[in-house]
Amino acid sequence: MNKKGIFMPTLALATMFLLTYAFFVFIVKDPSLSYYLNLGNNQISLTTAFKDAEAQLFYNELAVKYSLYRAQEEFSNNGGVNVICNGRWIFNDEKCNPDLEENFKLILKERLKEYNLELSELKIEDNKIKVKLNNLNYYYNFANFKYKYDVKQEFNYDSAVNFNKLNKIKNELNNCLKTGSKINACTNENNVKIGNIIYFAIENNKNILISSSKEFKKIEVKFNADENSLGAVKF
Amino acid sequence: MKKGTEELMFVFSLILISLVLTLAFITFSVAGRGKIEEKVSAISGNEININLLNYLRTKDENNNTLSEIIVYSYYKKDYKNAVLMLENLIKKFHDREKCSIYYINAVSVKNNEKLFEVTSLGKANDAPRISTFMLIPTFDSQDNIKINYVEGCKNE
Repeated sequence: MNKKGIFMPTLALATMFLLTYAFFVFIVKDPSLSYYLNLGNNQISLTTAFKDAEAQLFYNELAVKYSLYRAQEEFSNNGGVNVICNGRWIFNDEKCNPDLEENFKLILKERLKEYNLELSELKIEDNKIKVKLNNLNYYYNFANFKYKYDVKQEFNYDSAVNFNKLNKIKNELNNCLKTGSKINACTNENNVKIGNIIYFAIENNKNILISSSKEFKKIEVKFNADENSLGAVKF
Repeated sequence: MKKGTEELMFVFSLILISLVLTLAFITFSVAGRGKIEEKVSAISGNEININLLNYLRTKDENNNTLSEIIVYSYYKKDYKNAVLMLENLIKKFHDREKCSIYYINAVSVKNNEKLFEVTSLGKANDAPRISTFMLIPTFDSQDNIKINYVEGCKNE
């Protein structure tokens, strides 16, 4: 190749190189795209999950508290049995059986549902109520960083309903039913007898915010039993 | 064409190609530099919502949390105690050196009614504002109280 001959291949190569470079800059690598690299995304995600969980836990804790207030109030007003029983305890009856914990659980479940919360477990021991909701779950899965954050939702409150005393009376009345004794012979608890009906009012020394009056008050569980028909009538 | 002229043309051609290449590189580099941005920065978090949570969880001498006092005040339509407690907490725990600006207000979500506010005194400055909010439930599950919290803090 003489010296003149090199001119055309060089021009062609240069043009090709220019076109390729232009194609790469303007088409492949979007000129409008900015490249940002933020350090700490993963760490921020982790702390954000913690903050979100704390905020949710805070809300749920209070929602449980107000649900419990309302449930205890409703439970007391019903005398520990279904509202249709008018506070009358009838043992072994389908609707008016004083299955206290179970009746309370049903009311609490309904109240919690209003806040979109689901009761997972309820324990009542020594006048303390332990409410357990489903765990809060947070996940993050990105590149080489992943985490799973489970938050337990367990709340403990003192009960405004004296479950200990109510259960004691329940056992005493149950024994009465079995032995066929008079109610006053079975229990020492204060009561008022009008005809065959014996009325009880059990209070716990704890104030709660009452939803109707919006005042802090103690609540009383008022219930009654018919001395002549303490148990369900069997046909 | 004479040999001398040919060689001169060849040299000129090479110079021309070099010029075109240099010009192209400069053009693309300048054009690209304006549009393609590379940035590496660190994100900074803030603790503002944890601060607000701590305020709301603080108990008074009767074992009631500030959030419960706010709910009780809401029903009584009297926010004196809630505001007083909040102001005392801010006085004790808020970092005024770093965050001279703060603003807290409570709004009923159902009525969109402003219930009360606690705010820093003094002139607004250019400190960047960060904000958060927290919801407090009441007996009515549809009627939450929203606590908004804004802070203006100096960058460190």
